[in-house]
Amino acid sequence: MRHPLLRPASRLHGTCLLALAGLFFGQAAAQAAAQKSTPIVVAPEQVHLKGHFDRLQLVVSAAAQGSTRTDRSADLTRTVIYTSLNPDVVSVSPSGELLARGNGTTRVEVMARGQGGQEKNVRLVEVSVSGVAAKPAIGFRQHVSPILSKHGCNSGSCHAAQYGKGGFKLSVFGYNPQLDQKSIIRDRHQRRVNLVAPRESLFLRKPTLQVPHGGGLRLARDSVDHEILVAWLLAGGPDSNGKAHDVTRLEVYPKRRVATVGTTQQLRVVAHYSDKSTRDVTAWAKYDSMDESILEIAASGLVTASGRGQASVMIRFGSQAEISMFVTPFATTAKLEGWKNNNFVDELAAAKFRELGIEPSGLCDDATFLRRVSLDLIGTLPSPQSAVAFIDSKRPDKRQRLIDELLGQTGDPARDRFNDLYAAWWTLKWSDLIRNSSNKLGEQGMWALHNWIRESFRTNKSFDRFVSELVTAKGSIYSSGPANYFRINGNANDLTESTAQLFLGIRLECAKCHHHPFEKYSQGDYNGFAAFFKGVGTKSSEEFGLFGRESVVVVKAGTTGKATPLGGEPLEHPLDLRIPLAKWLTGKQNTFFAQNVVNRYVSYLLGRGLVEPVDDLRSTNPPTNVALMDALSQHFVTSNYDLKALLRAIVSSRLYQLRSQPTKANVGDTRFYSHFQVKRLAAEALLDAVDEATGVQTKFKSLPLGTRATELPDAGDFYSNYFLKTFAKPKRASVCECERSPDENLAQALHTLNGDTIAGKVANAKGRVGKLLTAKSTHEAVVQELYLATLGRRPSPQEQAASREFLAASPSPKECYEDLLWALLNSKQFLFVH
Amino acid sequence: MLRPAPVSIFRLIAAAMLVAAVPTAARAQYPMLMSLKPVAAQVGQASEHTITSRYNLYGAYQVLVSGTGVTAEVVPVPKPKDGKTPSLTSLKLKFTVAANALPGVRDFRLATPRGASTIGQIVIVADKIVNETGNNNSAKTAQAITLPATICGAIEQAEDVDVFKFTAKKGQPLSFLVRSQRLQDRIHDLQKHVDPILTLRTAAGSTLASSDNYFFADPFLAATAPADGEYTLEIRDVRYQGNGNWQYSIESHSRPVVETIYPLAVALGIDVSLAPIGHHLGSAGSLKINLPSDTPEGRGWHRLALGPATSNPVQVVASRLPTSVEAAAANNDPKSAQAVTVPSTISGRIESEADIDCFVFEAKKGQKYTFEVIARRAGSALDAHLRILDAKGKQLALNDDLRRLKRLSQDSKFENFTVPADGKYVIEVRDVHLRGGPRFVYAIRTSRAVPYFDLFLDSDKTQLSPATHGVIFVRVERHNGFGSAIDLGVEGLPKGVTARCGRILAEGTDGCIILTAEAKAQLAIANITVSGTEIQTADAKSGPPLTSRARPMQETYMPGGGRNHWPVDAHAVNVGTLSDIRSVKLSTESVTLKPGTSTTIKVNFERAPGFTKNVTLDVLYRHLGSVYGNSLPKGVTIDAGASKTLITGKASEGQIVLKAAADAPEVQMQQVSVMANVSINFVMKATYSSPPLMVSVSKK
Repeated sequence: MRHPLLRPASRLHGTCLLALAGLFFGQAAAQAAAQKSTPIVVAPEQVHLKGHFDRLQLVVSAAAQGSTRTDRSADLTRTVIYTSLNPDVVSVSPSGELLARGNGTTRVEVMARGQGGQEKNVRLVEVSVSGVAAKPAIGFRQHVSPILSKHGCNSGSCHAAQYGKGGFKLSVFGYNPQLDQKSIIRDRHQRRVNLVAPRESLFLRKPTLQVPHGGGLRLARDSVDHEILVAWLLAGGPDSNGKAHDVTRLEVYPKRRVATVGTTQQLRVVAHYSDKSTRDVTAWAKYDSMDESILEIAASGLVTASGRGQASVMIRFGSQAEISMFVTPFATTAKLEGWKNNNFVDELAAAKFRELGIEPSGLCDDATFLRRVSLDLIGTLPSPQSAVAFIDSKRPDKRQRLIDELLGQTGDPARDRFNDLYAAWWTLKWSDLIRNSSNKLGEQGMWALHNWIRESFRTNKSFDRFVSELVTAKGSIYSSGPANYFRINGNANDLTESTAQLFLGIRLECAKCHHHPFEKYSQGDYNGFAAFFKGVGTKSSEEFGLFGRESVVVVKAGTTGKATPLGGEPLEHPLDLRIPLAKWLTGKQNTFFAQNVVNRYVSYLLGRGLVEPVDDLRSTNPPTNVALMDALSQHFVTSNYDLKALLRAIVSSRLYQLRSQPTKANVGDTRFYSHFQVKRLAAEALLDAVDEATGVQTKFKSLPLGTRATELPDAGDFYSNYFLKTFAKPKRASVCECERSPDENLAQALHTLNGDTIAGKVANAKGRVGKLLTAKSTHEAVVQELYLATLGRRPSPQEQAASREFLAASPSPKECYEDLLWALLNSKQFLFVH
Repeated sequence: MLRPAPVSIFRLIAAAMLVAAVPTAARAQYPMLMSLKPVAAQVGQASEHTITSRYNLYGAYQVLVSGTGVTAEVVPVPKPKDGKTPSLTSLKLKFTVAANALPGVRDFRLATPRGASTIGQIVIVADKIVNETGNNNSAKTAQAITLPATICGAIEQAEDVDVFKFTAKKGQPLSFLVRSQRLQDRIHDLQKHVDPILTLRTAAGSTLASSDNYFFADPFLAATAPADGEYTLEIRDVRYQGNGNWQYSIESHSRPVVETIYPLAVALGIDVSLAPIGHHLGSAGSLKINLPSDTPEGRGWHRLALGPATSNPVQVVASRLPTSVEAAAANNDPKSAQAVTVPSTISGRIESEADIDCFVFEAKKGQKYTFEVIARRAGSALDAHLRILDAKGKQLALNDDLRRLKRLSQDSKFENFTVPADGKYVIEVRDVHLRGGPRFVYAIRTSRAVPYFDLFLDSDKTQLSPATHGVIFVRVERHNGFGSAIDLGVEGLPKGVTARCGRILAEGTDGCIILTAEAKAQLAIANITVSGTEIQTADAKSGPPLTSRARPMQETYMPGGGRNHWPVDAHAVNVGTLSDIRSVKLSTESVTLKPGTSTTIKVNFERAPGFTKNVTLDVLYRHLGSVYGNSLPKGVTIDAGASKTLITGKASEGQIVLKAAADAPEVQMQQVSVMANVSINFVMKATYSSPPLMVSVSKK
């Protein structure tokens, strides 16, 4: 039966004549299919449309082999000709969109013409339609809310703003459909709707611009969506047309596409519901390009590859999000000449280079490697003596030996002398993230947490244990360092958001108020996670004496709540819900846990995470190299979450040891590690490097001389330092990695060029230059030591020659060497890890 | 108990010298001991130590040291040539430690003409003392020592780091026990306390082990030398703060260290074998003990036979009740609870993380029991969480932390549990943080709940001068329905001192004892014992009256100006020289108030010549908004508006107006002190008492 509300097919689709033509030559087309010479693949091949306005997107691809589609198959969706064999049952648009029109069965012919139009390939799609009735069953939750989302009505910038727009308020992304339905149907004495004459409703006249609308034109008057809204109002604007089922996942077709610039690809999106039903929601899904320099996406789901590289399209519908990945290679081939895999990291990196047609840069030299790996693993410059020894060493395994020494894993106490530096450096990293600060914890609590973190790294505590101890921490805030985590995060919401972001790389803040816009997490998920922390409190103690003012973190037994991990089943514990949480969090089944750490460490070492931002792991933000992420994560899990093993795997790889200079072929790559990405030294490492290079140690307030900047326990006010502040030492106010800004600024440049810190150290009579002059070292020796102390390499002959000229032009050797040291300290080679 | 050391002729000389030499004003400033250097003394040795204080130590003539086997004397100070009294804030003490003296911490106190000092502490140790010397602030300048030794030093200023170096053989057990922060609770005026941290490093400078807070804030570090060679031991305040009074001792050796025992509770008079729990125990085997039958019940320090050797002192809980030990079988829930009888003392251990121990007993309706977990106070790592459940597991009572002697402990106690019905009941104990392990031992003392009371003295010393009065306030905490009045008593007064003991009324919480030093009293000091005896009413049940011995509480100047207390072992009464107030006299010895009326007591006190500081009169012992002693009868208060209590300049007269509320109950002859207070600092004051004032309230 055909519903009276439906306008003639020509009003909805400009395909009526074609459809009629299809009826005419349908039989011939079927015969021509048997004579095809350009095979095509149509998805899906069988269609069932249910109810009014049901739509479905066909996707037609060139078959690569036989009748199969590959990632490289061309999309023919908009070049083939569609013909409905019975337009009263189903109509079809030129872009391959089917629309249910009446109950029954029919077929849609899909025809691709060969060159010259002589050869044809034809596929027939079986279509059945049911559920079309005199009065369409339109529900707000099933039909209207997706339309509002699609057209942006319930976005934060429109009617989901804090106070709505024009007095009309909707929930963000429709997370509260009950409220939204009432806002439309009941608010303001039903002024927005006319249930007798729906087309006269303000609700429809505004978005179609029949009356002024601040949001502009949002809805075409002759569109299917408009007709759905009319039908809904005519039915009285019901909340639901039956039981509303949740969308459990989205299925996107194609999931992956390798393309060339200029290529287009139509997407098809199917929603899977909790009752196991499915529905094609291509027309109502929201699409976003995750990199607009590579992909453009139309509201219809048509993707255009506009640049080279790898990017994804994010698709959202209901409460779910999914992606489709696109790869547009830089070149058709990559030879990878001279490439030799050091380990599995290199195998997977090379595969990505080949896929993308990227030629990586060559290996860096020994001096560069020594400086790079020293700064990356222990945050410290190599001494001139160790630089000379390493550079001059003929041992073929010297790089690996160095890595093991820096990680303190040689087993020889004399060679494992860097372990404390390693612990200090990584304590600094994690103290930033955990936000250890005396401003919040007081001095004693801050030190307790600092010492616990440092001891954990000194002993290379497995990371799952580290996190378990932190998340289940209890006891005195002075004696149990991790207990301070529960003072930094003083309530269940803070604990939820911090724990998810720190150890899962999941940002949950959005879900506190509304459904996460880019993820599957709802308020219910947020509250379920927060329930793990509900019983945590404190009690007083006098174990540190009358003056101690120590408090003790305890869990109140019997705290109830449906505690549910993200994406998991509810967990129970009679006394402390954090115990099962820690088990789930660090369990091997939880891929987020390992991936989060791997991604951070890849970012620290290679300058960019496999996922960026590094603490934003989600299905809609995939790794640039999925295989590498999976392999590193598996390696991390297999090693029982051994951070040193993870570091060792990465820095041992050829990938890590590539030169930082890009080649012409890979200069455009910033995401696939084809050349080492230079990194600015962190503020603390830079100050330590300046101290080591100049031979003059910085004295920090309230700490004994000899304390290094990387050993500072605090970001609070106790040990404030102007240099560190200028170079963006974070205040530890946020769990986001982004708090430590990598960007340079004018104040930094002025401080290194003209500031007191460097000038004073360079000119200090007890500093490096002063000692070299006192020792009456030769000019060549002085210059060599200054280069080794700053850049970790010997000067080149040209640099030595230039230095001699500079000496001759200088008023005195002292000024010459001080100026040379100053220049080296201001060079990019010094200021960056390269 | 503090015991007086033998009084030497020096005392008499000092007294004679001071009577002549002390100035005429501001003599009420008794010495407040701040630190002892070195803070440890070796058994079997005599050693000199320097005590430092706030206020003048000059003339100190006697040292009281707690326990047996340790005595001390003041090293004589040269007589000043100008005849003026020097102001000494440090002097030498000579401690003599018997070879069989029990190692551990001892309290000591000095007697001076200006009064008894606050408490100081000394650590008695087994090994020789090595004092920190020179610049030892880095590994390069580390001070060489030889183990075994007890290192004594001070984290004397901000950023101070003390480094010591020693050699050890591969496999050599090493242990380092620090006492520092634990010695500071009794330091009366130390406004900030140390939080030491120890770090052991290899010759290459790599950290081998570190310890921050093991015994409360003090570290303990046990390690094994990984190779022959030199090692450094570093101690500092974890915050890099420092203070000249932050003394420490580090007992450094290779012997076994027994931290606690299992089972923790021991019956008296029988041979008991105990498992040692600690460090470097190796094949030391079990500990043997046989506590004499007259051993006081409760916790006590004992050295036990450990194989052929003797262990370090360790706390043992002596029990006169029947004892039992947790069985090997699981007892993690009420269904599998281990059957015990009550009253008894049960020893157990929280063996592993999340372990819960349950014990079931039978009881009759109406019976009353008290359950007390003794663990943390006895050296266990347990933070006990105690519940009483019915047989089905329903919670009937719960206690986490125990407040006793005004201080908070992580042990648990539930008093006066009344059995609701005949049946079985379960005692459940666990660590509140669900921790567990060998160190988590406990004893549960289950006893019939009977009425009793605890008494506390505020404070730990009473200063007298000839022909003056002093007052001791006694406060009661009543338990399990105890509601009687209490007669107070005192023993052990120094010669020339008498006491008038008051009472604590049934409706009240405080009573007072007024001491009087006769006019010819000589310099003297003695530790006294204050006790209370129940005043039984005519209809009381038969049996002897309940008694209790009072626990002195040393007052402490809290950061910010608050006043708090720390329990100490002894209360000292000191007779010094004449002080700022020579007498406090009242216009009457007794007053009787009718409900709804008031009465005025004129107060006249005698100032020392030249003493013009403010004097505050009071009947209540108080600081800021808190009252620490109030022996007035119920319903009787001070009429502040009508009273004149602030006496300035040379004035020496004031008045106290007492008023009785309209509903004040009848009371006969309640002893009250009218005090003249002179501030020493913001918190502490010198208190001079009037003769006893007896306050009665007649019938309406």
